Amino acid sequence: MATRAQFENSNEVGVFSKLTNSYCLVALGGSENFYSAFEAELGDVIPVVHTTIAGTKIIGRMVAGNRRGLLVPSQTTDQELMHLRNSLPDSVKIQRVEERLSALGNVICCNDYVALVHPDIERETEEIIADTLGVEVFRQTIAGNVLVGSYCCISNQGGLVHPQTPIQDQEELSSLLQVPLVAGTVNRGSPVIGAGMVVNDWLSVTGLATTAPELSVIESIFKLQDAQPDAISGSLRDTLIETYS
Amino acid sequence: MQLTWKNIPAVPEANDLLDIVLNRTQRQTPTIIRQGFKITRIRAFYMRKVKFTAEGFVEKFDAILQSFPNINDLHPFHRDLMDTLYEKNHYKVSLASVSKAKTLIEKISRDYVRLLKFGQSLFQCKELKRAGLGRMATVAKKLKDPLAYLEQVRQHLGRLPSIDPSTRTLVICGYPNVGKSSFLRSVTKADVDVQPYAFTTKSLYVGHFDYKYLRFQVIDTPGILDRPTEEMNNIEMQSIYAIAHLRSCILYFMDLSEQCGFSIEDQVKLYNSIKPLFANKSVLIVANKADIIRVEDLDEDRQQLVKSMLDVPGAELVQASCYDQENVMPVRNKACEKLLASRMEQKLKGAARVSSVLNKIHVSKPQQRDDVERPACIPDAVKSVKKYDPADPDRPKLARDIEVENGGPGVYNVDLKAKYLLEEDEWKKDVMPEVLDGKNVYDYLDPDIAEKLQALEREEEQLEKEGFYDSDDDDEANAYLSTPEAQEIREKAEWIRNKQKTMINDARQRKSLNNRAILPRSKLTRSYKDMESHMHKVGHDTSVLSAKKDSQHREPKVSGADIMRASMISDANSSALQPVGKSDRLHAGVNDGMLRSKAERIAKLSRRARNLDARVGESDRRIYDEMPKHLNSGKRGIGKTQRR
Amino acid sequence: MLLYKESSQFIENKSRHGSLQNQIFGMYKHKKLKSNPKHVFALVSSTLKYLKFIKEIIKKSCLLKVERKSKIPPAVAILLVHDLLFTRSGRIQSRQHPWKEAVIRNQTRLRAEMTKLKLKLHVQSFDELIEEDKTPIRWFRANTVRSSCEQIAKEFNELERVYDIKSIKKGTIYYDQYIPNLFGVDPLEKITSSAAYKQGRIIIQDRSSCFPAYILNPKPGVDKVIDACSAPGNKTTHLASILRNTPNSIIAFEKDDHRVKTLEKMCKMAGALGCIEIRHGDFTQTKPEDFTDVTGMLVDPSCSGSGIFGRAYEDNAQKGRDVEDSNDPYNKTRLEKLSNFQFTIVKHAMLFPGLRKLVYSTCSIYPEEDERVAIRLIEDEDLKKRGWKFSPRERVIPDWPRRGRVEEFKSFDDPDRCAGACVRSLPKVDGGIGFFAVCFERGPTVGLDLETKPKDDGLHLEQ
Repeated sequence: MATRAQFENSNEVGVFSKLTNSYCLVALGGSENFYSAFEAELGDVIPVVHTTIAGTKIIGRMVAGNRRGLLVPSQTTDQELMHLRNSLPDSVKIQRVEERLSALGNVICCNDYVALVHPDIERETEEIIADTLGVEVFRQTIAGNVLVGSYCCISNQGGLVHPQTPIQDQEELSSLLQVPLVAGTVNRGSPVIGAGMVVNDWLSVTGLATTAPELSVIESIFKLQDAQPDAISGSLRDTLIETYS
Repeated sequence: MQLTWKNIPAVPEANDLLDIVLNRTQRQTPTIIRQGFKITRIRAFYMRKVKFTAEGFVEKFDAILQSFPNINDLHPFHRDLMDTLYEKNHYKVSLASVSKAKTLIEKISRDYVRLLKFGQSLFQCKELKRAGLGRMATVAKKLKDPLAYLEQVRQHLGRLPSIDPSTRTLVICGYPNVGKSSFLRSVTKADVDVQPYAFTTKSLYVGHFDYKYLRFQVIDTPGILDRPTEEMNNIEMQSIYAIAHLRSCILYFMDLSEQCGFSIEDQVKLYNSIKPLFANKSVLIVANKADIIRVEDLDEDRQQLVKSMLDVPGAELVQASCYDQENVMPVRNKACEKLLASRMEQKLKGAARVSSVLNKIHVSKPQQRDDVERPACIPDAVKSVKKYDPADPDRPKLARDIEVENGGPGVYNVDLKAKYLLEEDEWKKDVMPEVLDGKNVYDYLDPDIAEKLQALEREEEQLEKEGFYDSDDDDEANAYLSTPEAQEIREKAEWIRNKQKTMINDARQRKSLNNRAILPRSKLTRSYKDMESHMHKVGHDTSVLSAKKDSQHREPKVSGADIMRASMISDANSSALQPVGKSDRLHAGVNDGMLRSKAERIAKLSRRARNLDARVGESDRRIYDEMPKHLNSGKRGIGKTQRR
Repeated sequence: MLLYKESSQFIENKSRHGSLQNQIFGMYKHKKLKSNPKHVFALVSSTLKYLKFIKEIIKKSCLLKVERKSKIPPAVAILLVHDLLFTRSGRIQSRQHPWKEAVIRNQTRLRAEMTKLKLKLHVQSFDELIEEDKTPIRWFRANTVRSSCEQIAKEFNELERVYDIKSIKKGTIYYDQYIPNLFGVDPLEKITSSAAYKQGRIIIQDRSSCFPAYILNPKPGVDKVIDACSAPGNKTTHLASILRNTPNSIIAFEKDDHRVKTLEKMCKMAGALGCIEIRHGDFTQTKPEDFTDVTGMLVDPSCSGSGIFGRAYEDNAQKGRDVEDSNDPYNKTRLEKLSNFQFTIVKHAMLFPGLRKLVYSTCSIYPEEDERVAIRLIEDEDLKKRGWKFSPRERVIPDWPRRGRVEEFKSFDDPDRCAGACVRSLPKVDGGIGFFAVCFERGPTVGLDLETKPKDDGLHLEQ
């Protein structure tokens, strides 16, 4: 299911929320509309938690996690940590990470099995990631860009990367992550995929400005509502060529 | 590229323009001027007026010139369309005259400002100003006709349909009354007039629809009659230009029933005469009004005639009836497919841009790199989640609804604790202390601590069993190391090391302080007992010392000034544990109280003489600056300076 | 950590002689090695197999650069990384040690680099890129001194009998068609833990290694044979088996102290001490006139061992040294030395007065040690005078297809006949180790069963 939402008139949904297979974090905003957008889609399946990180609303870019764990930066206050601990189920391990690159959401891109990290991340942090999230960790760049968490968005079933990723890199990344990948844009041509959308295995949320072709690409690559990635090179091919040239 | 010109500001009439500008000058420039003013002031006043008026005109003319489109810079389609509607030359000339007026007014302004620089009296300057403004007014009045024309153009331009020449377009053309507008109606949401008389449609109409997530625009044209282009009227020329300039798929509509009033032969002839315009475009020949008659029902030669139209490469014949909606959507889809195919071909020829698109349609499949399965984790509950329907009265209550109930976004604050997952519900409301005894509570909190400890202990046991901690070294060496001799040696070595360290530290301390005292005198306390024990350790006879101490233990006699002091000083100070070396330098030399008071008196006497001199001492006030400038000079801002 | 420190010296680029196994066990004997030599050998041989991959992984993950403070020697780092990534358990066998901690701190990175390397090479596991250097078939023979062929066949009757070498897999057994009493099974079968092996009723011996004794084919009660370089004793006990344990029929020479003990143990296990007389000494120092009753001789001197399995990756560590001939891992000078030694010892053997038949064999695939030694012998004037000739093919396992290299015998009149006296086996291809054997015979055929074909034992005829 691919839906559209806005947080206080901003289309960058991935900045203000974090969605995984076992929980969803939403920033505390002025009104409850954004929160309700998630609530309506998810129902009771997974807990949807209001939170701030280090007093800020940009929680999507500060934390990284999957269904097994959540990593928060060192600036998170103890009260916020306690709040998260109380709101999330016990199966989710929460770990505070001392790391110079503290915007973990920009630096780490992960699903339940594999994580891509910034090439300059510390060894210790890599170990913590492997341990808490239970994933294999690879240092990679995407389209020559080190902020993997911003320029790529992956779930267990597929992934979307920066539109200028060369095909060679795309193939390599795909074999590394073991999921099908496509290069595309979100929110009417924005290349910052990770910040523009959130996704898990059955739901994706993007900004209101996302066009219909972009949304159909997202649905096919992440296999939402029984769409298949083959549609992209099949029925959507003409649409995409028209849109992008 | 601009597609519509709806934001052109209104063009006022010439007289109105004049009024506006002059009124503006009157309001926004100073109005009072007197004869007695300085000449420069008078000159400035009038120069300002002239300049301001000129600026006003220039501003208005500039607005017009900027906002009206430059007909040469437009897409050929828009250019030709505007030519048809407004006549290119007239348009250009109007704008040119506005531009000319602008330069003239600027020139006038410059000239009169220059003249005003040399004005000698109020009257002279005033007259100059009048002249200048008058000339500007004449220039503006001459613009009456152009401005009126431009206003008309502006109004018409605003109502033109926005046609994007580069996007996907279908153009519907054909004889009048064949059913073009009804097709537009059925395919899009455009509200077009459909009437039984010819030339119902007098201009181009646009409708939009979506196909395969892409937006298409359909352009309905007025009917064309079969005559050479020179003879065509404005309305028909619009259709011609639409067909000629827009890269689109042409739908040529035909009425086989001849109800439109034109025979099939005429329609075919028209087709053949506008065929040259169809170069490089895909063509679909739509036989409309199929509910009345179909192609097959025609007689032989007419059918042949119709079929002859198909000799244009890529042309196809389809039948449809807009009246009963038969085959309308398939025709539309077919046209779209043709258009997309031809556009794709065009695009893929240009290799440079293709590469940027290729990676967006390429899906990389992973090659299996190991046997680990990585399935998706979708909880079963997902399937049973009902889609949220805002209209459903039984829908679940969302946070948004709760917020609205409790006063709305600004008033309501979310209760974050309500959704905690805790063992007991009543624990949710508990307040966690953050600081206790000066320590941060959260540092000492770990819910898993017992588990972690257990796990650690188990691991240790395991490793112990595996022989993890067994030493690698030789057994021989080990055996020797555990004998008592070795122990003794170790202890002695330890003692030697410690002693060495202490000696080094002492030496360092002594050196670093350069014979200065280590502790302040007040803190150095050494009791008699310490000294005795130390001496005993070192080996001296302590009996001598104790005898000495006893003999010295006498209460000091207090006299004189000390009596006063003694009542003030507490007993603790004068007890036996007076620190060694603590001497009251002021009173040490003189033990006796009487003598002390005498000494005090003498000291006071010696000071008296100097005090009487009342000489300035270091602790007395001294003024460095006898006459500070800020107090003794300068005019007052307000008031008089009779005294300082 | 001691294990790794000691193993690291075998990973480094140092000049050594002898095979890896010999070095390790030799050092252990001389008390220069404190850890269990079996562990060391297993660790080092496995590491050498994957050496270039491990080096690549360490380089990519910059392990040594990051952990510069711990000052891990590069060879030790290689071993630690091997244990972490390439073993089943994935554990480093050591107590707490800064080096171990340094490697464990980087384990995620190392694993990631390994995965990336696998992806780059398009394999799912590195084993696909490593040529397996193990024997394709495990051969064992029935020790007729203690048991018989039928008994052994009965003991192993739960294995399904196959009739083709190529169809040997787990759960099947093949009765060899060339050598009697010889069986072949899949290498994964647990033979060493069977009762038959523990009680010496079967002896694990490669098929090619059974050729010499079978070719010599001494007659029990008639012939007396010498095994000039007998340790570890497989061929010696094979001879004992053929001679049906006739007392005092075999003299076994062995120069090396430790190997002599192995020889003794083997003969005891096989129950052949009755017929084998072990002489601890240098064969070349013996006087031929002391052994006038010896009619047959088996000479299998030290060779380069190029046909043996398990040595392929030992040279990985030595790469980068100046090698004279880049084709030969063992350089030409060494081969020359070996072939000289081989010639000397066989010539000495051929001077024995009563000798009628001699089989010279090596487990080498190089002609320098195989055909050319035979040629030198046959062309030697002294030996020609004595009448030493090549045996005809009928007496040297005539059915075996792979004979000597014909091109080596180009200078002879009848190269095919000469090549026919030799049998060769190529490693893996012919179902076992690489091997070479040639049979010489001389003069009046006294006492030796030279004319008739080798005896058949019942079993291997049933095909």
